Amino acid sequence: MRRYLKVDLDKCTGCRTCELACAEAKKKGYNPKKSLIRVTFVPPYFFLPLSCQFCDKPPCVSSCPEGALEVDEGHRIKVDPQKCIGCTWCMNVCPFGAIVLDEETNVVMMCDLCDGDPECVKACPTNALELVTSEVSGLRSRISAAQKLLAGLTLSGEVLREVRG
Amino acid sequence: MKGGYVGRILRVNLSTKEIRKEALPPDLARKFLGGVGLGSYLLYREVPPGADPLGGANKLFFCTGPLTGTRIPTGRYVVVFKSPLTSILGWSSSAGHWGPELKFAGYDVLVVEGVSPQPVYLWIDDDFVELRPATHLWGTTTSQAQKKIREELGDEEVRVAAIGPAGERLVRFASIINDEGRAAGRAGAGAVMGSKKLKAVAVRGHGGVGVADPERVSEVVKRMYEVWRSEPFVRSLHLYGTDAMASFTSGIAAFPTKNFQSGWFEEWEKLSGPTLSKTLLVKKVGCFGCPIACGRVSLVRSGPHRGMVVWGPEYEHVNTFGAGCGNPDLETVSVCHQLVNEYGMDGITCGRAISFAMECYEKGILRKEEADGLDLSWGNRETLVELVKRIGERRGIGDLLAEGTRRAAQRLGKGAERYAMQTKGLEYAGYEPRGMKGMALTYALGNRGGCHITTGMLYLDIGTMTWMYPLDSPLDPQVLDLEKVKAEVALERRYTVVESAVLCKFFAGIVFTPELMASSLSAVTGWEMDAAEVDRLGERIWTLQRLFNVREGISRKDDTLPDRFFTEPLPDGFSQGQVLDRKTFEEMLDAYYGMVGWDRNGIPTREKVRELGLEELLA
Repeated sequence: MRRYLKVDLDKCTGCRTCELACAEAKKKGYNPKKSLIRVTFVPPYFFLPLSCQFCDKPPCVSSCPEGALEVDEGHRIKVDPQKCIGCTWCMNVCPFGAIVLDEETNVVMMCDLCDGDPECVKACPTNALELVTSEVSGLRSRISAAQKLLAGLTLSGEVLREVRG
Repeated sequence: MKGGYVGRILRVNLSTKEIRKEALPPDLARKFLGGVGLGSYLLYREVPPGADPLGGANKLFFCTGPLTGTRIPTGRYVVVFKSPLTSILGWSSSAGHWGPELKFAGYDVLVVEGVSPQPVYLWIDDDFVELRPATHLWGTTTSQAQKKIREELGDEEVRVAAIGPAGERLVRFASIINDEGRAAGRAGAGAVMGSKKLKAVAVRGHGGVGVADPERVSEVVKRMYEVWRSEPFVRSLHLYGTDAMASFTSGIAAFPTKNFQSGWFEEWEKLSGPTLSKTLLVKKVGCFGCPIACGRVSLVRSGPHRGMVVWGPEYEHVNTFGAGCGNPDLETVSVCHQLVNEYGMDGITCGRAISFAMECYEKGILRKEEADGLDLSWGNRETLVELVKRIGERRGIGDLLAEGTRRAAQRLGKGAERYAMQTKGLEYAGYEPRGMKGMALTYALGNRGGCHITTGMLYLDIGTMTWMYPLDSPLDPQVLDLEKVKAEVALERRYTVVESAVLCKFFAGIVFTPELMASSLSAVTGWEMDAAEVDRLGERIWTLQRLFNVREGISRKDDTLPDRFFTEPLPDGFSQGQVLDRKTFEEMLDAYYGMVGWDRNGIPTREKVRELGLEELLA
């Protein structure tokens, strides 16, 4: 089952703790530019953490001239360090800018979900990140939308406000 | 050095255009740590006595600390300089992401010397450093400057610390702004940058920060997160921003009102953190690596500034532009907040300068025709906004107020000095020292003047417990006694280390015990430090700062507060009748000098200076 990092945009404060946690987990020390998740600031005041989205038809895989990238059984992108020539073409074609070049080894890197228990998710102080399947991701959005819709109705809005205190 | 430091000082001379990279001496790092400590040492050594703060001999020391850029929440940097507002030690710290970026570029400290003939900005891209022309940027606001520099350098993630029109025009309390709305606000660092014709410092760094013992750092981080999650005051900073404080200070009627005529503002709830969250707030913002995210973004919903995006407002501005000026309108406060950030000036001093003018107007010292025909009645919203602009542009009455309240009062004469609410030239923040008597000590003794954050006394005075100074039971805000003096001594040392590490006073200043601070520093640097050494470090830096001020003529006569606090009891609210007793105050000063090893005139004794390893400064 494909799983994604779902981001709650209201909760993300742009503190970049996820970047530090990722760089640390990947043995890159405290260096956010080596992080495989990057918080992007969009003026006037939006923050969006972005990492590999595990595309169904990943352009990085199909466009690699050396065939160094492939999709594994967990829908993650695997890099063969022997084949990768560090040309960065995959970084060019990735629609999310989620691929990082490791300048020490000249091999590209992308999020591998830390074997299913991502450090960024655990580190986020506002719980803005969550690892979910596409089905749950959709469910979260539906619940959020439903709450907003219900809040606009007279009786259910009152109930929701009461219950929440 | 095993960890924490990247080991280099970048030195840029604007007169000769010389750019040098020096090694950071490990013994200095151990003795003064970084941040405000290392900066104060360098200032003492390199800026001669009596130097003109706006002249070529003054320097700017942008200092990070050993913890900057690590997982231990610290996005801060400190700028140290001789202050054009107070003519003594000036320092100012700012958060956001600029400080860590300087370190990622490979520098613990940036020193700026000399004066450039033309406006320039400094571009630091790891090892590549250059001065670039900034004539085309001169006159831009701080947000315009940040945007234009990023466009020019072709990288939206370049971190820019810039001055605005106020710094260029040498407003004596001009600030430096980075990361949209984070300010190195106090004491006029922006004016020093302006005098050097340095518009901005842009940084991009690709390196990292190593630590001596990563596993121990992870343990420390785990521990501090546990405390943070359980600490209600810090949680309220996330929910309501720094404006959470308005409920606490108003609760004890120590929310300065109408230029400190009172501590009770009837309409304080209109200015409170919960009101801000319900009405104007659109986003909570965290600085680099910080879980609190006390930063706010607000949207002005009505009036002539409708649609203005405000990076704030912060509690201090809510007080200075709100209750301080008799104004209950949070939208006007927000507009003033954004304007002082855009002009690049300190909103505490600016707000106090305006309330000073309003009181002089009320008392007949300042007439309408002397004030450009403006109506300076308390709470006049149009006047508030107009005065911020005039000060930022040094236009009309703004030119006088841009000098700060002490100088403005001297120029006005006619007894105006009575209404300049400052110590050593630095105006007070939003804590009324008659209703929070510990603050009287902190204001009187602060090494940069009437500053509220050189200690954590304000937390004790609102009855909040801090882990940094554990107590069995809360202290009484209305009492000035030896307990408060002891707290002052302990906290000024610990907070000085916080400002040298460089940590944040909202996070570390509350949730760190001295032991946890020692473990953090040990885990990161590889030096084994205990809580006693941390206190000793703070004492050394604090005394060094005092020695700098003594060299500039400071002594006991300056460790005081305006007459108002000793002669006018607070008129209403919880603090009604509260006033400072001069005799008690002087006794507490004596006790303080005794505890810290200074003589009766407030001068550190030779023995104390030697004991702290500062004898080289006695020569």
